[in-house]
Amino acid sequence: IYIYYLNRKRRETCSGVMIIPIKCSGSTVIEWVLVELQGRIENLSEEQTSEIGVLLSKEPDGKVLQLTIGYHQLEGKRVPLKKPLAVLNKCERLSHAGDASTSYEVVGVIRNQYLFKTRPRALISKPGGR
Amino acid sequence: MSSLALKPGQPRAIAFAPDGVRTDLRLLEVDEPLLQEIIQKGVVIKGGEEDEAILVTSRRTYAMKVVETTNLQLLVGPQQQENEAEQTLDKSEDVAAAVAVAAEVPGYGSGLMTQWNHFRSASCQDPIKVNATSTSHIELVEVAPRLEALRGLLWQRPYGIDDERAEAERGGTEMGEAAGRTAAGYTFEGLLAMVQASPEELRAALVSEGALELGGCWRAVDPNYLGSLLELVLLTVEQDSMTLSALRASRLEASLQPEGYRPALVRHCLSVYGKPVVTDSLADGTEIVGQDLWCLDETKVCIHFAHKVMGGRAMLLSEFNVAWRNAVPYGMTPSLGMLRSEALIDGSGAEARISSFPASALPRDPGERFAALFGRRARWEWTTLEPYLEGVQVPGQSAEALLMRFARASQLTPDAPLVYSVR
Repeated sequence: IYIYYLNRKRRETCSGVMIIPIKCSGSTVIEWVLVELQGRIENLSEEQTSEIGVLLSKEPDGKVLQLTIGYHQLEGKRVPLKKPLAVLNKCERLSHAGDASTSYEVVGVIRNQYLFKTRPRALISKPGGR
Repeated sequence: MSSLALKPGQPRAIAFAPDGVRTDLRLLEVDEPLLQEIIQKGVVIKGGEEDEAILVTSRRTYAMKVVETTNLQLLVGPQQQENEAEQTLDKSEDVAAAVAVAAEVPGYGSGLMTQWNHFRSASCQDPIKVNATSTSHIELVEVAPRLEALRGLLWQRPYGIDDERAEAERGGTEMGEAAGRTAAGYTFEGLLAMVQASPEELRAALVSEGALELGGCWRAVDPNYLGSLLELVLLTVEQDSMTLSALRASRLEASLQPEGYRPALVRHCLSVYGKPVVTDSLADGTEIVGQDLWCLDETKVCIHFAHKVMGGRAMLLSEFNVAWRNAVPYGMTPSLGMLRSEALIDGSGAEARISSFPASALPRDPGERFAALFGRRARWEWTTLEPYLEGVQVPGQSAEALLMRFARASQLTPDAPLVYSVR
């Protein structure tokens, strides 16, 4: 009888691992678009508004956009993402046995982003006109 | 929609969706194959309370890292279809605004009047709705599966002599045991739920750990027990004049069952120390159960006898070589090269000694493995070290990168071979 394995470490049983599925209902996934701005936006007016700004595409291919927020104007470009982003929605379910289970549902995928990374231009009318 | 579908020259307002803006949606960076797998089959995130979250597909494991940004990410989901006919352009002012916008020269557009035209024109249509915002996304980094826990689970109750005696007392048949035994070991699904690895990685690990499946449950086999069984198989082969390269499992099972060895164990022994012989009529991936023709692997059998001869202590190399040659079955030739990841030779010449040091007993994690290696021997030459690094995988990192990370290279003279020691 010989010792075959040396210094074998016996680990304690691990206390169970959480399993959280990520799935997609349906066989295709809806495309979303990402608009990315450098910085934050703040509503400085007193009224409650959900409006952010006005977008304008000047060129026919729609890749270059102008975004006017308040009196700032930003320029952005549509670029494909190097890797798509899946948009996940967390679902918590409580089974009748009282167990909580968590899962993620893919609600969309983002393949393109409009990235606004130029310095904003302030649109202030000059007194005396042009 | 893969774009905002803006009509050139037609301003559109963009606004937060009136029915609410989510801030709890998570963005997961994927590649197209992974996205397809999520859509078609789904994947899972696994992790214990103290573990890093790991994303597992059918084949691979990935660590999940949250990457924050200071940018503001506005997520625009599918928009209601615009009904062109409903655009109200009945106000003459709006018409004038639209005309003015259409007539704009590109590059010109900072005047107040222009902005007013834009605003007017944009307010005729529904704004583009932002459904959610985000300030981070999750990146995936492929990692080696976390298999350390697997060994602990498989070795909780290794199959050995006691199980065999218990079986003999019950007088169980192959069928009866599946029904009535108290199963020791874990099912594949059970293991999958406890180990941060993909099904494919787990399957490969079970093979490399030499785990036994009985009645759907996996466990390790006592190596002493398995070694004895191998020697009995070899004896039977010799007595019955079978060829080592073409053994009939059914014949061996029949001969060994009276000795108390279950057919499943005989097959397991053949799969650990040999390979199925693939004939033309068999497709790839035939299960072990159906396979009848086996060929013993000379290296694996010789390794078994090498460890037996060494008996857990250091032995004079010259004595070892003689004993080893005598121990291996007739027709097999042992060579020291077979022991490249099984034993180490210390000293040289007449004083050279050999001792057991199997790579399979060492940790899989690179850091821990290097610690174990340097614990056994302070300085390693590359040719001796390399076999002990096989199977220590870190996706995306080459062997050289691992060496740089965990070892320090030095040379006595420019002509001398590189020697590695602890960093």
